[in-house]
Order: sequence, then structure tokens, then C-alpha cells
Amino acid sequence: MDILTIDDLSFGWRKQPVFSHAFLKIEQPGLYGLVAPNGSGKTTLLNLISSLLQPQAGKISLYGGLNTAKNVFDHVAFLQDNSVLYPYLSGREHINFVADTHHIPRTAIAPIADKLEMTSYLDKRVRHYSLGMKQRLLLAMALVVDRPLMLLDEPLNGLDPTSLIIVREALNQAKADGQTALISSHNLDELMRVTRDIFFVVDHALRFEHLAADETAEQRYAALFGVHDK
Amino acid sequence: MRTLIGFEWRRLHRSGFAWGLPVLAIVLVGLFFWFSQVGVDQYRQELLNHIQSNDEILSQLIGGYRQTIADDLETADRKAEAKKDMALAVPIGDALDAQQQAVEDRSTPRYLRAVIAANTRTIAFDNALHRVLLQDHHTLTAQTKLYQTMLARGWALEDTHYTTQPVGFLVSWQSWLAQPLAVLLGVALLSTTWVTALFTNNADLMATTVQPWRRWALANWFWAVLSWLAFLTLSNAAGWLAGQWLGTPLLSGTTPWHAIVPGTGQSYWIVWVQEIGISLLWFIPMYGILLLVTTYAEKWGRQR
Amino acid sequence: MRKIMTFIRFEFLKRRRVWPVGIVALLITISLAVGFGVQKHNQSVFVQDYSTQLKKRYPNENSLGRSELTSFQKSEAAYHDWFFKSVAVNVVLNGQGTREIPGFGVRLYARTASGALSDAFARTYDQYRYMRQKNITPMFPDSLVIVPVAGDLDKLSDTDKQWVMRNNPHFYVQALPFLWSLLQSNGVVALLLAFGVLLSGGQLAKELAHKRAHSHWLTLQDEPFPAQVGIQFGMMLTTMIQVVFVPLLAVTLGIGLLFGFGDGRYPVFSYQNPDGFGSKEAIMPLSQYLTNTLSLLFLLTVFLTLVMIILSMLLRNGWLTILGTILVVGLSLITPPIPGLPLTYFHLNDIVTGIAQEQAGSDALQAPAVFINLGWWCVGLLLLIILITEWRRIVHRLQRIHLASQKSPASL
Repeated sequence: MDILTIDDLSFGWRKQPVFSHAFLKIEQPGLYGLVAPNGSGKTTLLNLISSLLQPQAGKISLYGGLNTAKNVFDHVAFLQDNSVLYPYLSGREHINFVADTHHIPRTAIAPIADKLEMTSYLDKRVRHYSLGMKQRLLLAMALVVDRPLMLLDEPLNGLDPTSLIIVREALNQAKADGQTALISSHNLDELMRVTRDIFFVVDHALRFEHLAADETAEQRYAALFGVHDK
Repeated sequence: MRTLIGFEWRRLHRSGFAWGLPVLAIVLVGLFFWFSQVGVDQYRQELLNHIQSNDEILSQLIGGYRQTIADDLETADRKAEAKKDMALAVPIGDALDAQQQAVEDRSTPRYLRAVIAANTRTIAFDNALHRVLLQDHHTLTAQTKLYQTMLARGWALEDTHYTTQPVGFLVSWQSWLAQPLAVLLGVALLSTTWVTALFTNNADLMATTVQPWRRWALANWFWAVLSWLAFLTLSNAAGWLAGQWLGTPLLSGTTPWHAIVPGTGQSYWIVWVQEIGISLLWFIPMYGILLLVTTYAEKWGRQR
Repeated sequence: MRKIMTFIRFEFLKRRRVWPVGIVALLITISLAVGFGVQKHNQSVFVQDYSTQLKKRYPNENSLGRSELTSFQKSEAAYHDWFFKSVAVNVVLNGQGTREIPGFGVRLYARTASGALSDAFARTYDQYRYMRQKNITPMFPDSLVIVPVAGDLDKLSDTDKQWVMRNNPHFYVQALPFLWSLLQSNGVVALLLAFGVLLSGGQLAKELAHKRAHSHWLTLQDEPFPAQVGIQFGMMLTTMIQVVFVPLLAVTLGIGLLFGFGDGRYPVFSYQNPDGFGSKEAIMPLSQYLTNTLSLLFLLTVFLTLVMIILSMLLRNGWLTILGTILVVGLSLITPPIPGLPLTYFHLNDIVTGIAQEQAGSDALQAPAVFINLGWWCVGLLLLIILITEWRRIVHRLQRIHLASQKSPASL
């Protein structure tokens, strides 16, 4: 059973097309990158997969079923950008809520918080968090629900080297546990350290590329989008 | 400073206020005009009710006199007195009938004349009785004087609260906009772009870009005052047009700018200008206070 | 059900962090209690002043006029008795000559044209007879029931109007009458509603701000948008009730326990049209007045909550939503009685007592008609909310149908 299938997807904002007859298929669990220039539709794609946006044409399937709200809730954990966080609530209150709605015991929170080294600030209000702290909280919220597919929108943004290592380890652990993650990122070097399987958004379509051992993500990006080293 | 003023204008413009404010002005004026139309109709009905209630009291009195005159047991003196009083009371009733007819025919001059006649006769009647029976004489005298002036100058009779004639409507509308509560709502509304920027990351950008910080507040203040002025201008213009096209007098005639607003001794023009001044005088410091309070609140919040 | 409870708990958690609603409700309750204290104080000041006035007017021990002073100084019950008789004499004489009869009250007759207040006398007399029949204690000190809308003051000069109103005050110094006095004031009602709007108006709009960031996140937690709107409606309504009704009821309860609740059968002036042949003055028991007024206030609270939801969905800005709704409340203060327009219904006292119906000359402003009409407005707003909520889905479905119809000829 395919994990994620996008079939002949078309979507646009008013008269500006974002995707036109796009296809994507993920059959094997693992980590997959999602790369495109700014404004090409990475977040839009993740919103479409999670059913927050509806395509004008085409079909998106998750684990053999359409991406209905129920199916998304059962199979997907989505790390969105940090505007979803309530500044006046603490990190713990966010994770507690997520755990409760997914019927996950709250005892599951502590190990994840430990793993992401965020126990010390978990009870502070989000308005006092730095960008990296917010990113780790968002990742914790995605990990705690323990869904087979994770959609991660720029999880590596604003992370310091220590945080990068922590997040990288968490992602590798997820892979080892048989989970799948679709990770959008601009940090190509860091992305390459966790996966060499990358989807590029090119000309309103989705293109899968497996990077060869001697190839970097940046080289492939340059080749696809016409950026050359000086 | 010019750069900041330009920046604040673009923020105001892009946030939709540039078109939102005229729309709001037109909607609010439209609503108030509708309320005024209803108010004018109801006031006309009130006039009729008032005349009828006076008429009823008078009818009772006249009925009493008739009884006295017809009663065989009454003395000749009392009958003669009753006849005399009735002769004074009946013309008041006639004047009240004339008032009613004038309201139904929508004629201001005829109504004013009828009220003056009724007032004069009421005072004469009470004087003959040596007591104030029907209505307070000071009120009657003041009203008679005002109505004589209105009649002589050809001014229309209008309710002071609700009128759809352009001049009276603008004065009513503007007097609402001079109320502190209305100004407070205006301040809150126009401070939207300021408040939303101040309590978000925009403030950080401004804090590092604008030195000293108060320049940003001053630029915002400048546009807020101009916007309020624009709102007053637009809403008054819309009110004027509505009055010109759809306004109808309470009875007949028009109210000119130089007519006197009842109870003030000042012309409509002066009162209108004064109300605009009061509105601005409220707005300018109130907005300033809001800028100060929100700035300090933001700084306080930042330290926590 | 468990999930719904999780969502609701989360909303309460968020609200607690944004507004200390309990403290605000407590402050409002204290303010209302202070208002009650002011009434009590004003009552004792008035009693003192009036006593002095009477002594000045009737310095002579043998003066007939001293009967009022004597009863005034004797007891409240004695004064009620004197007042009733005094009003009765005036009603019988129909305002003719009572000014000259000594002993019938300084503030009742002095200075005004003698027939000018005859309607107020007749009304007061009717109410006192009703109270005597039912053994209801009148307010102290007794005053004429003056209804400006009925034209009671029309025959007086401006100075006399002020004088009559100043000298015929009503002091609502027990629980139910005090609640009555609060609900009579459009300003108090508008202020309470404005506080409720201030505390509840922004929440849904904030959820929808920034491309529905919070709202989308909640959708991913299995809280679909219609459920979010439903829960927000419940939260807003709860907040409005906490800010508007809880203080009103708390202050009523507190005053009731300390100073007595008063009589629910107390006569309230109203216009009624029982046989449909035109409205006339009637007496409405206070309990009925309060039930109707609070019910209307509740319906208006629901109406305002629905308005807030619509504005939130259209503007997606908490600040503007609050201002827009407060503007609706503010506009209601200057709205004349217009049948069918909910802004008119904010004048609770005028609607429930039939004054609005009398002013507009329309049966559509009778309280039962207003309840039905306001109910329909709420249903209409609810439908509008459903339409806006489902709008995206409808548009999406239409787009797909449109695209499918464009494709189908080619596939043939």
C-alpha cells in the first residue's frame, strides 16, 4: 500500500497556477526532502496533502484512502510554521493539548522533551521562546502524536548547531522506527545529511531525484533552477 | 520625518483603511439618515398626539362650562362667568384644530400661526381665571417669540433631534461625532494599524529603524488626525448629498444655515462649525493619550 | 464527547490567559454594588432635604400642611398612607384647585400649572390602589409615577420639568427594584454588553488571522472548522453571560440577602394592547417585567455573539471585530423605535413596557413580536455563518464540477 500518492494535481491562487498536473508517489517509509525556490508551493503542497487546502483537480491519497480530514488525523503529523503557536500558552500546554486530542498518554511527553532537550523551558510561555526553541516545540508536537507520516515544513529553520544535531538524530530515529517524513527545507546541506531522496517543485510539477553518492543537493538544485557558481 | 509619514500612509493605505473609511462614513450616515427619517415621521405623530391631548383637556373644560350654563340650579352669576370663560376657551380649541389641520396639510406657516394664536389665547384665558391652568406661561411666551421670528423669516419648523433637511441633519450628525464616546470609538478604529503593528514584530523593525522612536508615533498621529478630518469631511459631504436628494421637511419650507438652532441662540452654521471643532479637539488629545498608553504598555510587556 | 471536552478545556485555558474574566465580572459586580450604595445614600440625603423643605414651608405648628411633615417624621407606613390620600384627593378634584389646598404636599403640586400633571396623578393613584389591594409596600419616599413618553411633562416649562423630576425621585433600595432600575437604563445595558464584547470579540478572529494559522492547526487536531465555530460561539456566549448576567444576578442576590428582595408583584408602568383595539396604560408585575427583560437581554446577547462571529470571519481581525460589534451596540443607543430592526430591541425597557410600540405606533414592537423577530434574526445570522463556513467547500465543489465539465468532451 502506497504511503502517499498525488495524482494529476492542479492547484492555483486565482489565476496564478502553483501546481499543474503534478504527480508524486512515496511507496517506502523513510525521509524525503521537498525543495523548491521561495514561493513555488512547498507549504501549499503540504497544506494540500493535509487537506487544509482543496485541489482544483486531481487526487491525493494516504495509505490507500483519500486525504479526508479523518484519514489525515489518523496518519499524519504536520509540523507547520510557528505562527500556529499561541504566544500566551506554555510549550507544555501545547503538547498536552495535542497529546489529549490524539489520545496519547501524557507520560509520552517527557521522553520526547528530554530527547529534544527542551525540558528546561517547557513551562515558559511561547512568547519568550527563541526561534530555535519554537522549532523544537513544533517538532515535539509532531513527534508526540506518533503518526506514520510526518509533514515537516522547514523544521531546520533557525536552529543552532546543537539543535541541528538533536533534530537530525530525532529524524533518523523516526526513520529507524519505520516512519516516513516529507521535509521541506532551504538548508540543502543539512537536508542532505538526513536524506538523499528529494522532491523538487519544477515548472508547477513535482520531480523526484535521488542524489548520487558524489552529488550534492546544491548541485542538483543549481542544475534544475539555473543557478551557477561564480 | 517625511519618509516616516510616507511609510505610515502606505501602511494605512495597504491595510484597507483608505477605502474602508469612506465606506464606513457612507454606511453610518446612511443609517443615521434612515433613523432621522423615522424620527421625523414619529415627531410629526407626536405633534398630533400633543395637540389631541390638549384638545381633550380643553373639551373637558368646555363641557364643564356647558353643564354649568345648562344647569338650572346654578346661579345667574356663575352662569355668566361660565359663559365668559367658555367664550375665551373656545378660540383655543379653534386654534388647536387649525394646528392639527396644518400638520396634516404639512404647512409650517399655518402651524406656527396656529400655535401663536393658541398660546396667546391660553395666556389670556388663564389671566381671566387668575391662575395658570393649561400650560406654563414662560414656556408659552418663549415659544411664541421663537415662532414669530421663524414666521417672519420664513424658516421651517423642525425637530431638534431628527431632521432630514441638509442643514439640520448635518448639525445633528456632527453633534454626535463631537460626543466623547463617538470620538473614543473613532480613536480606537483609526489606531488599528498602530496597535496591530506595536504589539507584533513590526515594532521591533520600527524600533531599530526609527530614531528617536517618537517620530513613528508622531507620523501615525499625523495620519490619524488627517483620517479623522477626512472622515468628518466625507460623512458630512455624504450627509449633505443625502439631505439634498432625499431630505423632506417636517411640514414645509427649508432651514437656512443662518437660522437659529432652538435653545442655543446661535445659527446652524456656527453650531456646526463648533461641533466640528469640538470633535477635533477631543480627537487630537485622545489619540495622543492612546499613543502614549499603548507605547508604555508595549514597553512594559517587553520587559516581562 | 471526550474530545469535545478537550477542545473546550483548551479554549478555557486560552481565554484565562488572555482575559481574567472572573476578575472583570467581580469588578463589574462591585461597580453595580457601589451604584446601589449611591442610591441608598441619595435616598437618605433626599429624605433629609425634603424634611427640611417641609419644615420651612410649614413653620407654624397649627398649619394644615404639617400633616405631611407629621406623617413623614412618624414612619414610612404613615407617609405611604398620607401620600395615597393626597393623590386620591387630587385625582378626585382632577387637578383643579389642589394647589391652594394646604397639606397636600410641596413637591406634588407647587409651581406647576395645576392640570399639568393630572395624567401622572391618575397613574399613580391606579398603582397605589393596585398596591393596596395586593398589600405591596410602595417605595420610600413616595413619588409620582411620571412617564415623559406619555406626555406628562409636555405642559411644563423646562425649569419646572427639572424641578418635578428632581422632586419625584424613585429609590430602588431592594434587590428586585434595583435590578429593575439597572435594566431601565439603556446606558448600563449597553456598557455591560460592550464589556462582554471587549472580552469575547477577538478570539475567533485571532484564530482566523495569519491565513487561519491557529484554525488550521486545530483542524489538524481533529477539530473541524464548523466545530471550531460552534465552540467559539459557546465560549463567546459564556463570556458574555459571565460579564453581563453574572454581575446582575450576583448583585441582586447580595442586595436581596442584605436588604431584602422586594415584591415581585410591584407595579411597573406599561402599555398593553390585550384586545387588539389599541394600546392603553396598564400595570405589569415586576417579576414579569424582569423575566421579559432578562429574556430579551439573553436573546440580544446571542444576537451579538452571532454578529461577532460573522465579523470575525469577514474581517479576521480581533480589534476590528470588537470595534465593529461595539459600534452596533453604540448605534442602538441612537436608534429610534423601528419595527423589525434589532438595534431598536436594545432599548429593553421601552420594548418590554410597550413604550417603543406606542412611540412607533406599531404592533411589531410588542414584546412577543420582538422575541419572534429577534429569533428570526438569529436564525438568519446562523444561516449566514453556515454559508460562510461552508463557502470554501461550495466554491471548491463548483470548481471541480466546472473543470470536469470542461474535460468531459475531450474524454469522449
